[in-house]
Amino acid sequence: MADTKRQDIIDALLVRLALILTASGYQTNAGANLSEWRSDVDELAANEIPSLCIYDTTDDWEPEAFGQYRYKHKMSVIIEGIAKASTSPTVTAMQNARKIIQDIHACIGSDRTLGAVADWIEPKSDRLIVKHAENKFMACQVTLEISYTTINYGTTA
Amino acid sequence: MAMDFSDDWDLVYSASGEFATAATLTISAATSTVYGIFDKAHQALDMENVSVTSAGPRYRCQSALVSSFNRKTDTVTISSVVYKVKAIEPIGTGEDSYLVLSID
Repeated sequence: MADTKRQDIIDALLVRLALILTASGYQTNAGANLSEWRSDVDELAANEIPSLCIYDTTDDWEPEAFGQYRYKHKMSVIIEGIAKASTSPTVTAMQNARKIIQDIHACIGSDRTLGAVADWIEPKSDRLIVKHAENKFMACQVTLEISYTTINYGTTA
Repeated sequence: MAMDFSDDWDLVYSASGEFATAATLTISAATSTVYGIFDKAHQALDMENVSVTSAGPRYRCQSALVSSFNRKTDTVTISSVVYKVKAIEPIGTGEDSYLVLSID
C-alpha cells in the first residue's frame, strides 16, 4: 500500500530541511540534527544543538465541492528549532534562534510545493521561547500551513 | 568540647572542609577566594516540545560574602569556569545563600 499523502509531505519536508547547513549557504547547521516528533524525555545533548524537529499536528479537511470526493487539506506543521550561544564568532542564543527562523523560511520559501508533493505552503507564525540553566537555550517555532489534495475519501493523492 | 552548628559550618566554609570547593569571587573588580559547597546536578529543560540536557550549577556560601554582589557585573569562578549569578537565594535564616549560576 502506498504511503499517505501526509507521509509523502513529511518525508519531503524532512529532505528539504536537511539542506539547512552553512555549507549550503544557510546561516546555521540546524539541518544536521533533524527529527520528527521528538518527545520531551528524549533530551537533546549540547552537541545536538542547533537542531530541528517537526510536528505535523492538525489536518483540516474540506470537500472541494458538494458531492465530490476530492478533499482540500490544510495541515498545520510546527518546526521547532533549538539554539544556544556559539563562539568564534560570538553569537548569542537569541541571535542564533532568529537565524534558524530565517533559515527555515529561506529553505521552505525556495520551493513552496516541496517538489509538487504539496499544493502550497504558507507561513503562519513564528515564536521564541527562552529557558535558562547552566546555559541559555532558545526554542523557536515556525508554524506552516501546508495545503494538499486527496481523492475518494482517501489519504492518498 | 562540644561544637555548635555554627562551628560545624565554619569548618565547611574553610579550605580544610571535606566538601568545600574554592571559588574566586570578583566583586567590583576585586577578587577573593572563598570556600563553599558546589553542586551541579543534571537539569532537563522543557522547551516547548523538545527537552534539552543541561545542568543547574549552584554554590552555597556565607551570605555576608556576597552582600554587595552585583549580578550584572560581578562573577564567580570555579575550576576555571567563569559563572554569572542569576539569583542569590537565602537559605533558612539567611546566614547562608545559594548562588544560582550560569555561563551565559
